[in-house]
Parts: sequence; structure tokens; C-alpha cells
Amino acid sequence: MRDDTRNSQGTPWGWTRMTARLPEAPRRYDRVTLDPVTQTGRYLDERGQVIDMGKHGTNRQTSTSTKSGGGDGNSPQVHQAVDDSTTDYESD
Amino acid sequence: MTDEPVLVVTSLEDVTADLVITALNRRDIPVVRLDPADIRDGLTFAARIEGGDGGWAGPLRTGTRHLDLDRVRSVYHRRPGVWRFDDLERRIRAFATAEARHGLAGLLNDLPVPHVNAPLANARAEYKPSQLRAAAELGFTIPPTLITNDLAAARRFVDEYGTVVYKSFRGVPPSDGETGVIWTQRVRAAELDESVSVTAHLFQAEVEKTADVRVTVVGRGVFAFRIRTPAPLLDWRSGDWDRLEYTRSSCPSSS
Repeated sequence: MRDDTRNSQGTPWGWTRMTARLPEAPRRYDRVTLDPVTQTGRYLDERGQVIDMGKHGTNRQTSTSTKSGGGDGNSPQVHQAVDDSTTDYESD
Repeated sequence: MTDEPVLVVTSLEDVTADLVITALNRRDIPVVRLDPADIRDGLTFAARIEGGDGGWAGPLRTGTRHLDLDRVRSVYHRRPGVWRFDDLERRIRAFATAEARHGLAGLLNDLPVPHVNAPLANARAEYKPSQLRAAAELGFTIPPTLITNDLAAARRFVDEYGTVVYKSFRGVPPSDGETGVIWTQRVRAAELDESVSVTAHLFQAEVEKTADVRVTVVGRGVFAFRIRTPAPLLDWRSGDWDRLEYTRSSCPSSS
């Protein structure tokens, strides 16, 4: 029977190749506002101080993570999305 | 017109878009930043087309800027936000999302100006089957590749080439609070099982390498960087990113 050959959850083989699920990197900022003049994001901490987000670029909505043993937010970030990925336009 | 703005389609929390916008500001090029996902939250637009060659025209307002849709210099697409219709019932959400995608994102994608990168062209280019065929057609050497959901075929392929890697097509979808990744990794025949039949899987003969090269093409400009890891690593993304070495490289020019 066809069903006898399936594993219990029907999980694809490729899914089992995933690294251990990792916690997402903690946000270093409290909130973001758009600077109306420069049209860039202003990242603020809890006291309303502006935080420099660095020169490397990232996107909050990309799945990012501390690597195992990290956790300070400065560890390498893991993200698998291609930079120009169209997933944001895909159906949910 | 030199005062026509560059339209930057991105989410609020995108540091890469900030870097590009800062560079445009330095050149005194006007910028309008917008996130299509703000459609019910401060973004309004009224685009009209009347026939002839005028194309789409009308106002678009963000929380901070006004844009005339027929006066856009170019469009930079950089990861727009996820549609925010979560509070709606499933079918209504699907409707609202599809309508916004076609009616707003589709409108922006259709503006007759340069797009970096045109989302529909990107979407087409993201398919690995098309990439491999295109590379082969252009004369690149490509590793023998198998896409299958047939366990026996996968095992035969591993037996045939010995050292074989698995690559996912799209990676792991994000979820709240945790994430995971599927690095490119070696596969032994004994590790394969019937769950290969559940969906499509890509196996590829491993290429011996001394480094990886990442190439970015902007117009006719080709920028290549050689990426080396301190110790040999099948997938350079899986190592310590602070210890990667990047050096400017070049690509062989086509004849």
C-alpha cells in the first residue's frame, strides 16, 4: 500500500537536513521611525537614543538567528533568504 | 527631469535600503520610500490610465512624501514588508492580499522606468532548474544535477558520483521566535529514505573547490568577490562570518 511507505508525518527528507532550530537574534532596538527628511529608518533604544545599525545591512523580516552558543546579538547572523528574494510578495 | 525621485520599495526596518538611500541623499537625488504593506496604514494612491501613451498617472502619498506616479526616475526594490492583513478571516485575507499584490505592487512593477531588480524577472530567475539550464546553455560547466522525488533514482545518483550534495530550493520559511537553515551538505546513500518521495529534492555532484565567488551584476558592471573560509567548508555561509576573507576578483569575459 502506498501509505505504508510514508513516514508518520509525511515530512520531506530535505526538512530533516535542517540545522537545529535556533532562536532568533534579539532585537538591539526598541522601535523604528522613518526620518521624514532623509527617508531612512531611525532606530531608537528604550530611552529614545538613536542606535547606529552598522554598515552591513540586513532586514528585520528575514529570518535571522544567533548561531549556537551566541546570543549577544553580535554573533554571525544566519539567514537563508536570497537578497532579492521575492518571498515578500508571495502568498502566505 | 532631474528632480524626479527614485522610488524605494522596502519595509521600514531595512538597514540595507537605508545605506542606499543615504548614498542617494549624498548625491542630492530625491527619494520616496514606500512599503506597499502600508496600504491600509497611511499609504494612499489613485492611479489612472486614459489610453494613448500616457501610461499610469496620479498621486501616491506615504506618511511623509507625495509622489506623482508618472514622474518616477527609477524603482529600487528591496524586500518590501509582509502584507498586514493578519486580523482578517483566512479567505478575506487571501482576497485582500491578492488584490493589493496585483493592484498596488503590480502597478509599481509596471512603471515604465528602470527597476532594480524587476520583481517578476527576479521571480523567474530564482528557479534553480532554470538557472542550471541557462548556465549550461551559456557554456558554463555545471555539476551533474538530479531533481527527483524517487528514492531509487536518488540512490543511483549517489552511487554513480560518490560525493554528492543536497541543496534545498528555497530554504526554511521563517516563523515567530525561531529559525533554522538547510546548509548545502554531503549526502550518503544510507541516509536517504522513502521520505524523498514527499517533495522535490535536488542532488548535485560535489565540486572540488579552493574558494567560492559571489558575483553581483549592476547594468553592465560586474563585481566579483572571492570568499575564502579559514578551514575548508562545503557551504561558506555555515561558518563564522567574521572570519571570512573577501577579495576582489574578476570574471572571465565572454567572447
